[in-house]
Amino acid sequence: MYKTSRFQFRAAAFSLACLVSAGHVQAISQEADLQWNGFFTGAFSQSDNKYPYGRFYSISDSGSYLTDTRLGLQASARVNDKVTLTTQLVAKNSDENFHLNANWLYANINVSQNFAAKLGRMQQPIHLFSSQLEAGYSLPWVRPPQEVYEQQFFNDYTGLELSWKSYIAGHDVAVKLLHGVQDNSLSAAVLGILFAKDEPQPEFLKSDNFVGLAVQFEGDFYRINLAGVKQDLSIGFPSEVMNGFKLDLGACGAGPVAMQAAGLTANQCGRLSQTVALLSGDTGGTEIYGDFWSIGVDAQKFGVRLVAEYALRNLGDFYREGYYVSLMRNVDKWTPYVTYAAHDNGGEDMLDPQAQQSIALGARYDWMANTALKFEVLNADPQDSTRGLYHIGFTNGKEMESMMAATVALDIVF
Amino acid sequence: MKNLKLSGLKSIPATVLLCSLASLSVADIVVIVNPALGISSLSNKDLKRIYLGKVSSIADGTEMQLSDQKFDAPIREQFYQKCCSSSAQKARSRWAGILFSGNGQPPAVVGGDSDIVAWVAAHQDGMGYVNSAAVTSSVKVLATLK
Repeated sequence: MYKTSRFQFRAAAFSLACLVSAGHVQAISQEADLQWNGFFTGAFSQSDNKYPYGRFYSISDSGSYLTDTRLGLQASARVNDKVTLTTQLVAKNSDENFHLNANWLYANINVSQNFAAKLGRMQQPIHLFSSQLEAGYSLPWVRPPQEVYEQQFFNDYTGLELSWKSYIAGHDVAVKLLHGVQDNSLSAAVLGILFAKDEPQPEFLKSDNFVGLAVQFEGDFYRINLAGVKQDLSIGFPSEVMNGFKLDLGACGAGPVAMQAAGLTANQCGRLSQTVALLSGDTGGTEIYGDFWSIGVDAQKFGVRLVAEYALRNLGDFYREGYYVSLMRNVDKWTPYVTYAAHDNGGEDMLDPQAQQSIALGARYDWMANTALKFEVLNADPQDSTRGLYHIGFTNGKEMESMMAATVALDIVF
Repeated sequence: MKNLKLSGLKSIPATVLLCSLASLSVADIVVIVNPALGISSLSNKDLKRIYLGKVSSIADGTEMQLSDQKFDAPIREQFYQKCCSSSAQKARSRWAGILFSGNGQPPAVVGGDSDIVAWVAAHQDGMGYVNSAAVTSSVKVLATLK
């Protein structure tokens, strides 16, 4: 976690330096154009279940204004006809506090009318809405269906994007080639299971040679996005996680009194024994082959909009897949929607099975210029005795029940 | 006005003429650019692609700077319906996605007709839309939306 915080701080500081530089560029060249934009989402979410739902949101019955609330500031400086500098700083909830992160921080070079290159920190264009996830106003829903959008561990990468676009037979075609590195940390439910902890545990994820290809076709009434990513990961965890594991293991081996003193159940000790066998002495993390594939369609005809996406992630011997279909219809300022989504995973000796189905009913109301109100009721139903997309650790054999969550959100762009 | 007092068939040409003038001055929206720009027309399809952010340059390769009317101006809704088969709100939401995914800048909200004419005249690569009655010799009309 410290590593991530340091990185976020460095990235944000670098962003500010870029902005100052951009201001300087503007000062020395009257042609330079510095543009500021931003977005804000303020939301309240509450579910009828005490366990947190969703890796990115953690909605529970305690209710929270933190789950979806965020603020983003974007600055773009046109250095000359070919080069633009852009940075986007986003503050949003993380561990009940607001962390600042540089989502975008890049130089864009328009090589020609059809070719462009971006260099820096960017968001992967792997889903229909993954590049604009934080700007709630640009999304038709309160938040995109997590059955698909949780598949990637993180959206950002640092590296190069080469893009080519053209207009072919009445269709806009864009091809993007991505290459770079990813280095981040997240809170992993599977580590909570491995180390028999109630809550997900922190882990480091790194991909040194991230390569991806995204292709988009857009016609008069549709948009299709295809993406494939090769993403081998090295996974590690902080020493305190491993030390806690060793202490708990020792308590389990010392008998019932020590177990009770450490607050451990027989189920937890059984889980820890299995983890010892699984790790086989490897306590420093591991390298795992990974790839990711997705396809999405966004079509609008006769006043009805259909958005659907499918995503498949392979990671070592395991896979996860999810899809959703969302229908919406615009009536004056209202755009009600219904979304059905499903998630499944599998593989040999699956540690953390996650099967679930969900239905969301919601509406967007375009209230004023640049301001939208959104309402959503979500029913998520874990299947096959799994945790579904609840963001929890070891459940002590408890089966997760279905959950109903309601969210009200205010989206603003400026 | 004298023709309006005539009855029968004689009154029809005058009425048609008046209606035509009225519809030209009220309903016609024209797309304007700086006179220095090297093109003289723009297809509806290309206009739609530009104002929905699918493309940022015109046929001769010029990267365009787009302007927009005030949020509450009736012409804004009419323009997006005629140009892009979209409501102004939907177009704004789409542009927000383009902006915050690092793929372009939305049209600058400049003001009313006279502000946009002045802005386009001052920007060599500027483009905007106004009521046809607001056009002056300082800008060039590229397309008319009826």
